[in-house]
Amino acid sequence: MDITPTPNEADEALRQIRHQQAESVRNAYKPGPWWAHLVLTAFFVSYGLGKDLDSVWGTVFQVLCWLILAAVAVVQWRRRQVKRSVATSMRMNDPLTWVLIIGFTAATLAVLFGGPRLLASFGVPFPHAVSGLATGLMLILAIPLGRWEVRRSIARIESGER
Amino acid sequence: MTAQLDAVIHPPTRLSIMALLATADEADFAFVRDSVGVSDSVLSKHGSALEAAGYVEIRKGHVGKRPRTWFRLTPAGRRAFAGHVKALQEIVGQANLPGLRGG
Repeated sequence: MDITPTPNEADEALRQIRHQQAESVRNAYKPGPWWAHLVLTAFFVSYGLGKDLDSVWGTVFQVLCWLILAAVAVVQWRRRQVKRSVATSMRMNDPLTWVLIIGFTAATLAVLFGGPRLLASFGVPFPHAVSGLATGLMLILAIPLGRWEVRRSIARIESGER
Repeated sequence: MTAQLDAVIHPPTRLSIMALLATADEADFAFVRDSVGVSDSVLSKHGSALEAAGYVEIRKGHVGKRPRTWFRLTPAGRRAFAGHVKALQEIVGQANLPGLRGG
C-alpha cells in the first residue's frame, strides 16, 4: 500500500507535528514553588555563615535546606505530566540557550567561590555569607531565564527552525 | 526519498503521539490523550501498536496512590520519527511549499 502523502498532506502533517511538540515543551515547564528559592538562598547563606563563624550549625542548616530542596524536586518530578531532562533539552540543539546557561552558571560559581576573597580584601564583614546571599539572589534572577528558554524553544519549534 | 516514510507512524494519531514524545523523556497517558484529542481506548490501541513496533516503551507506575501510565520513545522510535519527518519535509520541499521553511 502506497502511503506517500500529497505535498499538501505532508505540509499539514508537519504543522501538526510542530503544534504537538510545542504543546509538549509548554507542558514540561513547571517551575517549583516560590519558597523553594528562599530555601535555596538560605542554603547558600548558611554555607557562608558556617565558614565565616567556623560553626557546625552552618553545616547542619545546609543539610536541612538540602533535604527540603531534594524533597521538593522529587515531588515536582513525580507530579509532572511531561518529563524533560537535560539530555532531552540538548537534543533541542539551541546554542544560544546553552551559552547563556553555561555563562550564568560560571558567573554564579565565581560569585560563590571568588566573592569571599574579593569582599574580604575590602574588609566587608561575613564575606562568605554575603557571597552566599548574592548567589541566592542571582539564582532568583535566573527564574525569568527559564521562562525565556521555554518561550524560545516553542517559538523555534513553531517556526520550524528545529 | 519515500523509503523513509514509516507505515507504522504514518496515521495522524500515531504521528501526533510520536511528535509529543520526541521532545520529552516521558509523557503521562492523560497528557498524551488530551493533547492528541482521543479517547482512552484509542490511545491504548495506538500505544500498543507503537510498542509492538518497538518505537514506544509503556511504563506503569503510581503517583501517590493513583496508578499512572507513561509513554517514552525508544531509540528506534526516535530514528523512525526523524526519518519520517525528513521524508515529509522532502515531499513538501519538492513541491516548494512553505513547510520546509517552517511557514
